[in-house]
Amino acid sequence: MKRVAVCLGILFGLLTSSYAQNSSSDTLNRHGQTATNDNSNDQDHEATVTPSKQNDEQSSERETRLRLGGIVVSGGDAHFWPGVYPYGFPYGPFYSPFSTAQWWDPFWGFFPVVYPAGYFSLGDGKGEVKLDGAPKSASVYLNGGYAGTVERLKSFWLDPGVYDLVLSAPDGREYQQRVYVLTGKTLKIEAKLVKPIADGERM
Amino acid sequence: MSKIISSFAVLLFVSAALAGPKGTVPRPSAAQYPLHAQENGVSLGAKLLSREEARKTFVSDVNRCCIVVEIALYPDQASALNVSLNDFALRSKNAVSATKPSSPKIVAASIQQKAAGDRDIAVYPSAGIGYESGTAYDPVTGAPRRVSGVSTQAGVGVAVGGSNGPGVSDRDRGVMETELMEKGLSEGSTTAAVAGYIYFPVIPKKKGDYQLEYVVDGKKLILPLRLE
Repeated sequence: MKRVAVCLGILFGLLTSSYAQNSSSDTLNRHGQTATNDNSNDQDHEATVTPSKQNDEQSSERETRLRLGGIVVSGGDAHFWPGVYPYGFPYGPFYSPFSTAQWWDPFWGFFPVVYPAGYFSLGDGKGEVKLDGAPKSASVYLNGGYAGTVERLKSFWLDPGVYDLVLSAPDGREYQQRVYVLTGKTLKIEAKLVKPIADGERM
Repeated sequence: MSKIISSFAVLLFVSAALAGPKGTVPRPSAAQYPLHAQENGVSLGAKLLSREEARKTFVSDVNRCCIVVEIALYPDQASALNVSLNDFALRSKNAVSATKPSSPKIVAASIQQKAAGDRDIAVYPSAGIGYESGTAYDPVTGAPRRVSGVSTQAGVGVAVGGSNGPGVSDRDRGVMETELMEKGLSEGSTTAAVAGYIYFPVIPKKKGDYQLEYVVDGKKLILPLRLE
């Protein structure tokens, strides 16, 4: 039980430190106004660790980003019958229940050392668009094509590119925005739908 | 002949459609910008974007390479004004040399180059808990007995590699270039007010004093800019 507590403590510590960096870093809290970048919500909790002696010149230097690539939590149950676990105490029966063929063992094999950074990131090679403030029933159009409703597309991934985003509510209110999607970046769009001005109403 | 004309018309339409918006919407008057001046019938409004403002305004990480200034020009209605980036310069306070604005293409390439030099460190913590039970035989007496136990494991993997974050790929560079171009000050002759951003290849400091220089009809307008 003590070991469980220690393991969970280590895990909690790692998570806490990762999120702490995420929230404290200057370059992280990128809250957009309208269709702006919001890296604080990146899909893989990306964090930018700025040098402790960051000055203005250093901001142009190479940046190191620390991020949480993913968490593996696994459980296992093994029962060997009949017979003795061949390795004897102290290894059996407490020896890695994960390697007894019933469960995949996260500690064996090559995970995670050989995977490159970012391998497990969601939406690999894509950017995320998050819609906020729009009614759920509003339709989403990308480059003129219908993409779905806000309810289904509250958050979606797009290839890097420039898109014309239009949100159209059933009551006729609309929101238009040109969005620029970059790899691994999250665009948080605060959509305020308004009634489009009719030709006759123009000054 | 008609085919050529029609295909030319289609080409013209497509290029016009792809051109997208250009610049920003000018405020009603130059006086509504934090800094403004007038010379030879041309009014100039300017606003230096802080790092935070630049980060909110652009998806591209312009802070990595550039100081961004929003410019608005209000020509005299009687004559057209030729807008050229070459007429602008940024000078640090008391500096001898001044910096000319960069084109969006150069800025995008610069951001990409800097982003490619970043390093990613990914941390993969893992934890496991297991339960095993079975029959073990006493090595001395040979008597069978039920044994069971809980096992726990924890590990952490660290992966270090080059960045694959925003701005590294060529597609990202294209997007950044488009964004910077579309939000940038458009060049050319105009009789109407125009506004947009210009990008000076100077790494923005947290605080600093600069001056913006604009040459109109051979006369120099100087506006003091302060980054706070």
